[in-house]
Parts: sequence; C-alpha cells; structure tokens
Amino acid sequence: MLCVLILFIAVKILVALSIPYIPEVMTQMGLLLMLIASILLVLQAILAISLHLIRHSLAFFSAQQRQNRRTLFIQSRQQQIQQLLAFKTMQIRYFHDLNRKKILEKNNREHIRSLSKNIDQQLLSMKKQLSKSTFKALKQQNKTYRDSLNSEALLELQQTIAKLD
Amino acid sequence: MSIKKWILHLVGIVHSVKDENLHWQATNHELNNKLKHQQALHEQSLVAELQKRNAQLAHDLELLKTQHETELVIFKTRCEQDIKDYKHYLKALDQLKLSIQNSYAHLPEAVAFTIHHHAKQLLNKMWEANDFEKKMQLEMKLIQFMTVLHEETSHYLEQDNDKKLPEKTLNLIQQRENSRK
Repeated sequence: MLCVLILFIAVKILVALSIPYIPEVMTQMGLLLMLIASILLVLQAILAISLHLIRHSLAFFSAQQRQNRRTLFIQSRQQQIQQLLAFKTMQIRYFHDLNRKKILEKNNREHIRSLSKNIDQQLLSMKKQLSKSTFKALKQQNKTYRDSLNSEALLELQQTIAKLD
Repeated sequence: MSIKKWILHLVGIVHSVKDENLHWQATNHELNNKLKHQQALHEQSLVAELQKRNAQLAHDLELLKTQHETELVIFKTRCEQDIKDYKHYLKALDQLKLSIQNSYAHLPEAVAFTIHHHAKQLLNKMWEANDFEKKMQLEMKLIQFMTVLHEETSHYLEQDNDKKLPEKTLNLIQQRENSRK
C-alpha cells in the first residue's frame, strides 16, 4: 500500500512536470498493485480467521476441556436432582394434605347430614305449632346450611327451633 | 550496481538469520523435545485426574439418586401411614359419639354433634401443628378431653343417675371456647 502511495505521488510529480506516457503506465501499475494488495489483505484475514477457528476448535474438543465440561454437567445434574427431591416432596405433601382434607370433609358431611336429619324430624314434630311459612323457611334454612356444610349455623338453627318448642 | 550490492547484502542478512535459527534449533533440539514431552505428560496426568474426579462425581450422583429415591419412598409410606392413623382417629371419635349417644339415651343430637365436633377440631389442630411442642400440647388436650368424656359416660352407666347431659365435658368445651375468645 505504501508502494502504491509512493507510486501515485510520483505520478503526480511526473504529471506536474508534463512528462508523457510514463505517468499512465505508472498509474496502471499502481492500480494493479493496489488490487494485488487488497487481495492479499483479504486472503490474510481469511487465513487468520481460519487459524483462529481451528485453534479454538482444537482447544474446545481437547480432552481437558471435555472433562471440564463433564464436571460442570455432573454438578448441574446434582443440583437438578436436589431440586427434584424438594419438588417431589412438596408434591407428595400436597396430595397427602388434599387426601386428608377429603377424608375430613366426608366425615363432616356425614355428621352434618345426621344433625340436619335430626333437625328435620324436630321440625316435623312441631309442624302443627308453626305457621306454614315459618316451617318452610326453617326447612329451607336447614337444607341450605346442610348443603354448605355450615355446622355452626345448623347448631344455631337447632337452638332457635328448640326455643320455639 | 549499488542496488545489486544492497540486495545481496539483504539476502546475506536473511541467510545469516536462517543459519542462526538453524543453529539454535540444533543446540536446543533435545531441550525442546524434553519440554514438549513434559508438557504432554502433564496434560495427560491432568486429564487422568479429571477423569478420576468425574468418575467419583458420577458415582456420588448415582448414590444421591438412590438415596433420594429411598427418602421419597419412606416419605410416601409415612404419609400413607399418617392417613391411616387419621382415619383411625376419626373412626375412634365416631365411636365415641355413638357411645355417648348410647349412654345418654335422651342426649340431643346437637350436643353429641358439638362434643364430636370439638374433639375433631382438637384432632385437626394437633395434626396440622408444625411445632412438635405445640403438637404434644394439643395431643394432651385431646387425651384429657376424651378421658373426661369417657369417665363421665362410664360413671353415668355405673351409677345409673338421672343426669341428662355430660356436664363436665360440656363445661370443658365452654371453658376452652371462652379462653379462645
């Protein structure tokens, strides 16, 4: 590139001195040199990149690097397994709690149904003493509380009915 | 001519540098080989050490997997046993309710329900308590409650008295309700 620069400066000087033919030849030569220099630069860059890639690929697939990657893999697997244990334990605990709550709900339903049945019987025995609308309303309340498993409301209802008796 | 001389001089310099390099390579050839060999050996030993460590890690990983599997199986079994125990307790409470109803012939259903419900609440609190000390306290409360109830029903049957309600038990429930408020 430096040669080309010198050549072009020389051409300028020759043109300034009004010397014929030589500047044209020198310009052609300069252009050719510039083309060759550019091609050489590109080739050099390609070569450097290729060498860099090869060197890094070789390092990447070297036994030491492979073993290092394997160590990292095993370590991350170990962490995964630890996390998996925590998640599985959580899952088992969740389903266990759910199961226990279902059992409790079933038991609650049985006893609430029994209490509601008792209230129904109590209401039937008092049917004559109560007005039709009160009887109907109390019966409806009993059904609502039973369906919503509201034991406290059922107990209160039972007390209300007992006071009416 | 001077250019030719100058070029020849340059070529001479290049050749002398090459000679020097060749000479240096010849004298240091053995040392160079030795160093390369040492480096290769060092790399080999490093790789071997890493391989050994990885094998150990893989072995540890397998052990950890087995250990976790065993832990999970134990935990699952414990949960299943826990459910069985819970069912057993609920059944016992149901039977307790039945026995109260059998003992006190005229006991209102609402009272039997309240007693049973209170016992069940105690049981649930005990079951859900995370703190061991609190769990023990609640268990003691439940046992105390059941003992009072059991004593009262058996006393009632033995003496055949005319009490219509298990008053001690109901008082205990009342006390606990008041203390909670």
